[in-house]
Amino acid sequence: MLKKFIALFFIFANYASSQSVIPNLETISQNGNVIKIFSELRPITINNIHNWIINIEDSKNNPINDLIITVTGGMPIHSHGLPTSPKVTSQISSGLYKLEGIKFHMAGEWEIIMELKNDDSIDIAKIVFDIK
Amino acid sequence: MKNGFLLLIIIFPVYFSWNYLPLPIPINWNEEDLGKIKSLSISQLKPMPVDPSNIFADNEKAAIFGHLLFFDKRLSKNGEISCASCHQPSRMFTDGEKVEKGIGIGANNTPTIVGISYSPWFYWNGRKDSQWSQALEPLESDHELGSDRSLIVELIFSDNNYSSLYREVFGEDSKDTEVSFSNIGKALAAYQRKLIPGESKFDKYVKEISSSLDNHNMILSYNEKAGLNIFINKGQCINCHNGPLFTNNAFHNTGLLSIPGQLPSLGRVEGLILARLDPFNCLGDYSSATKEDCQELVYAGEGDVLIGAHKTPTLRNVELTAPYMHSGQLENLALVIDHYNKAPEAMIGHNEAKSLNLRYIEKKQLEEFLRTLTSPLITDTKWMVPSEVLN
Repeated sequence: MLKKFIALFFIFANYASSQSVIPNLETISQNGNVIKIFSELRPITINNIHNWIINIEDSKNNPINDLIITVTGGMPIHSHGLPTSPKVTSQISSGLYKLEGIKFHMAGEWEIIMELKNDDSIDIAKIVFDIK
Repeated sequence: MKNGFLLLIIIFPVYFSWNYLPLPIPINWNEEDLGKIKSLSISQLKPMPVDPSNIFADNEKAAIFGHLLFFDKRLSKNGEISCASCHQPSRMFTDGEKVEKGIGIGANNTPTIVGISYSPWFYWNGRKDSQWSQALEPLESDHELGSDRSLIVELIFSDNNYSSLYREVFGEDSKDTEVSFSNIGKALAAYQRKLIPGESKFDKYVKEISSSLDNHNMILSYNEKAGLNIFINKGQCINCHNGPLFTNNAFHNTGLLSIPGQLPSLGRVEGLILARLDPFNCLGDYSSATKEDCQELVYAGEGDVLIGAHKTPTLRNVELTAPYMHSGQLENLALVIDHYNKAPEAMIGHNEAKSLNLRYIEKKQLEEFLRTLTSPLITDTKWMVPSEVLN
């Protein structure tokens, strides 16, 4: 646990401040895995393309590795998707994935859907959050 | 008959009042409203973003060079058109025409370039991903300046002043025409980065309410404040026209008709294909950016939602930049507001906007608010006229 905390601290050293170890967003996937999102932008604001680190663990805090992650999303109320096509470009350490190119272009309620795939299963996680 | 007449004289005043009279209630901003209003203030405008694809973007000599080029008609095929022919300083760098008129007639409205350096995308369909690569296209476009890169590079190096400025900024001239041509675009971009909007009546109002919750100040009239209220709430204009430049620089299909005789524009769907193919894009050989700097291009949004989608324009100085929309389809602000109020079905793709049910008076109030966004540029006046006028 301590090792993970130290890793996160250093990974997010360029993500502004020591507060970075507190996730911006958090959710539980359909299969009960815990998804934590650490954004380069704190708070997440509109009209800025940026990157996220996604931390994925099972319900017993074991990191989940080697996932193929697809991220989509949008604003259901306005019937449109994300203005960019963000992609998970690498797994940077145990259970930690880098998402590049995420952007939001309107204030209001956004929904992010993550498909987490490995050889055995497909899991889905959804996060709904508000951007001021 | 008598009852019908009585009914009519009751209904008519009610209908008339509902449509044409402002609601006699004070406008009080709640905390959420105040947050939205402050986010639109010019005081929230961040420093000009760095353009990693153009290391000369903030080079003063490059701006001086670009300034000369911007007003120089010799860059055109017939010697009669310059960038400033369509981007006229006296019209907030637009031309007052429905569609661009250079050597020939184009298909799109000339947008203002004031504050556009903050955008990651250029042109209504976003077919360019930097201001310098955008500046190159009109030079060679048949209906704009109609020249070609070899002729333009030749002109630069046959003019003593230009060639010496070029060498001062970019070093020795390259044998590669494309390199010299791209540098000309970079100089034009360095100049255009000087064009920044200043403080409007609306911004003065924000300054005032930021220091007091009292909404009885006199900077904005009742109708202008009511229009602001519609802008941030019922009208939902702020969804896309957000931030201090009143634009999210994103692409939306808002159900506009094409101009008669033209097929509907494919908009962003086509623009993105062109941007990716452009040799002068962020990832290309003439860009100084690394792949990491080109996230907007690398991770650009795709999908059917972008069919017929065009870039959200700034609303700063909007009353001075008629006609409106990507092909100048709508002649005045009242027609634009009517269009959004109705939110018609799109000719192609899907109109993202939904009808607003604004009353007549609300539409007028919204229009009055939009007119509070007029402001002079903060740009030094020397950049607003051809340099020979100064000499």
